[in-house]
Amino acid sequence: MCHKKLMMCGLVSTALWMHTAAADERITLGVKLLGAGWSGDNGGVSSSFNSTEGGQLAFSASYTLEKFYAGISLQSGNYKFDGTAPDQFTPSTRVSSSNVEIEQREMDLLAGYYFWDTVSLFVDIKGVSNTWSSSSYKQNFGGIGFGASGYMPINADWTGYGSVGFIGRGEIKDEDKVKVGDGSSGALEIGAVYRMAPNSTLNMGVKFRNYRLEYLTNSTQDYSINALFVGYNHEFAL
Amino acid sequence: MKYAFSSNVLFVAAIILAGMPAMAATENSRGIALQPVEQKVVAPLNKGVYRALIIGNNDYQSEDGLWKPLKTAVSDARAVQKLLENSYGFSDVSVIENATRRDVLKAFEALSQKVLPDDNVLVYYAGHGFMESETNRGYWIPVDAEGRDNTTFLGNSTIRDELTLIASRAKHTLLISDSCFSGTLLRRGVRGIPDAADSEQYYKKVSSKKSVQIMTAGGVEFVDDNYQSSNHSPFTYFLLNELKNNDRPMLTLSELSTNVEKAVANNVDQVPESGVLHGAGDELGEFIFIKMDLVVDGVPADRVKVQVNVKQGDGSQPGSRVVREKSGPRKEVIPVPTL
Repeated sequence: MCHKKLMMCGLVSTALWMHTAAADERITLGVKLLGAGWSGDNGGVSSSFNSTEGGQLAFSASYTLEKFYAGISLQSGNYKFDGTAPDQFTPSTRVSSSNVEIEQREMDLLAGYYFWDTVSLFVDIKGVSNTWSSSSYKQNFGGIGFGASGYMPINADWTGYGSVGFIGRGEIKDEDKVKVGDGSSGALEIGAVYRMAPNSTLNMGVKFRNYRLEYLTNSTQDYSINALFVGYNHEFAL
Repeated sequence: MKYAFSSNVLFVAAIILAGMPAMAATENSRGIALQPVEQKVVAPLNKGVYRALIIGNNDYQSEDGLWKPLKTAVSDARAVQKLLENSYGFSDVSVIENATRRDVLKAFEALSQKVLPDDNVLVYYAGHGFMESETNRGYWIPVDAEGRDNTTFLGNSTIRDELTLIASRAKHTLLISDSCFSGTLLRRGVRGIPDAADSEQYYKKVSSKKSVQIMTAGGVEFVDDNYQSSNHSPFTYFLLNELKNNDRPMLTLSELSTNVEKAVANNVDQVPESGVLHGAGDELGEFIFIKMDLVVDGVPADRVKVQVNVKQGDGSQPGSRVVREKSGPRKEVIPVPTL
């Protein structure tokens, strides 16, 4: 309870401070379409899996004030597995899975600060929810990650950018919020931004993500989700 | 959507969220660093983006050797680009080196298509120029010009048409032409210089009026190449010099051209000219250069920030698309990074 009050105080004071500032201040709304593949290994013999179809749609909103930014990203999509699929885990059991479709939803709450001209460090509170279509089994992975993001102007219209980060230790829970394991993940995104107009940009690139999940059943599961993406951002000056 | 975040995680997040802006606030709160500059820059100027098209032609391909390669036009163009981007908040700068006739026309077309009503547009040309003595017609010479065949040149009338189109869309348009005979493009226009006591009002006034101005290296005479081995023409050398050494937050084209004309005329046998583009809608406004990297004595460079009293961020402020700070590269908004 005490934590919640402190959290509210922090968020309110942040909002008030932001509101009173009068500087380079903007809100950016974005949408991103990802064509992705999910592949990995359940940690057993002949247990590798590869999605045959996959893609996600993401929406983001961010607030920028001078060198500070904060944002939220919501991402959702389905991955289809013909054959072996990621196994399902409970605190004590492991259930093999095949020929399923997994719905993946992600949420990122992040804040960053440009400590250098073109390079920022950020913290990302991430939650990933995977739901198996065959059994409605649901697994949640969440944790705090840290990363660096930077960009490099190429010319007046194009800017290259990239970000890299990791979640050192996240928790895996089932749909009843019972812990079933721990995990870590890393992400690398490289892309380019094309400025179509003073307040609108197209972005495109590749994103690589790796997960290593260690379950209480002493099983491990490694997988990666790699994607090509294209997106659009629109900025609103405040 | 249902996510399993522990309260500990949310607590840490709240602390971080609260802390990040506090760091920014600490930096901004050092008013001693900002005051001297902000007090100077308070005039409400127009809100447009600063754009530039910069052309530098060295490598002339004339088979008959009529148009000899130049030594400094490309380095002139690069130096102008660097200065405009780093010191004057130009956020959209296109540079063409060794441009053919088609390159120039395509660049004009691309520029005119993206110009918005409040924009400030500067076109800079360094290269050969030519005037037909029989007709008194002036031309820019692209690198693919063929001998005296003026159909392969860029006539003043074409340049004027392109500038007129840009000027019809922009608030302020300025052509700086560093070539022989470029003076044939312009008509002399007389503008005032601000009184020191009322300069803010003056800048406000001339900024609100449309301008279509030209500054040229010479009137109707030949101009020099590679001034004192500086790797710049005399005109661009003194132009760069004036812009670099300018210690005022705002500088009108009239103020700039007065100093450049004097400096060039005092040192070489060449007389730059400035004026307006006839018939393009000039309303006695002024193209205003806004110095983004002023040096303030006793203040660390990274604490000096020029703030212009205009609405920010909607693609409307000098440098809003690319917000520039002292000696720093542009600040671009990239997609939010996620893990």
